[in-house]
Amino acid sequence: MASPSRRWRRRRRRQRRRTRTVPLGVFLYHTTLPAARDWAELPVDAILQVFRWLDHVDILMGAGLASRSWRAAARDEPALWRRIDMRGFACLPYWQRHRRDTVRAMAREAVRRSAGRCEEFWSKVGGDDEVLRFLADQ
Amino acid sequence: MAAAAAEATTDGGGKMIILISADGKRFEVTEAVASQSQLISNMIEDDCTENGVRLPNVDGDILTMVVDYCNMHAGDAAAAGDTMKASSTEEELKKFDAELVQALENPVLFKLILAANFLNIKSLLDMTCQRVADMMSGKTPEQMRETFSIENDFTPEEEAAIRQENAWAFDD
Repeated sequence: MASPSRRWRRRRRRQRRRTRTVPLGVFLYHTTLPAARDWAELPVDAILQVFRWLDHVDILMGAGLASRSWRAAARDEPALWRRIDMRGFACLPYWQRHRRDTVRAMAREAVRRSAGRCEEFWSKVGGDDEVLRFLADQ
Repeated sequence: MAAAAAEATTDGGGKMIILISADGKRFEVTEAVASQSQLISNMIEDDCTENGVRLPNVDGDILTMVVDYCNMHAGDAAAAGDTMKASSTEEELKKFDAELVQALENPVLFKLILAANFLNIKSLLDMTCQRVADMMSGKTPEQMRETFSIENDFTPEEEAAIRQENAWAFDD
């Protein structure tokens, strides 16, 4: 009973052996592929090096909310918020860009994270009295 | 000792340094090339590079890229005097950098950032980090996790708090 299926299996195996031609590059790629969580495990100083190139709107909207480590880096580093650039508002979807409370809440959060060390504040839409007063208070 | 080091750098970095990767590959580079890494530059100053520099957290294939990069950019300082030459090499360099950074797969980019951060090579770190920042720009937290295969490691309670504190990032 088992013999035909065994024979079939053997043939399959032989066929597989004959047809397997995997380019070496595939192996190279897989050996260099880190585990899924590696990007979240980037050391804090390296995360901050990346965040330095981002608009603060991007940090508040996405990068700073992706994982624990990224959130910690985005929140607990006042130096990152010394020069707050919120000009990325212009790229937000219409419904967000035109809600004053959204703009205000984000600007407030950015200023709060600078822990009183904000030296510059750039924004096209957030020139709101309340935010400016908050900035002055800090 | 300091005088000897200074001499080596003035004559085009004649002295050679051996870099040893985590998997034991050896790279011989001039001092001028190696000292683009602030870490190694400090080691050269402290005179502790004679027996080769072991880099236990940099793989051979990544170190190959780093050494290539440093070799390309070592000409930078040397050619600075000659403006004609400098401008042409500058263009070449820009092309080299752009091609390098565009060709990088996600995992390699990750390792290259780690290496540049560890070796403290500012220009390479800036270039690679800028590329990652470009990949991050305009993405929601969920898209971010997809792009970088990051796991959402927040507890449900934390997630709820985040949604409340950062209501602007969640469109509901």
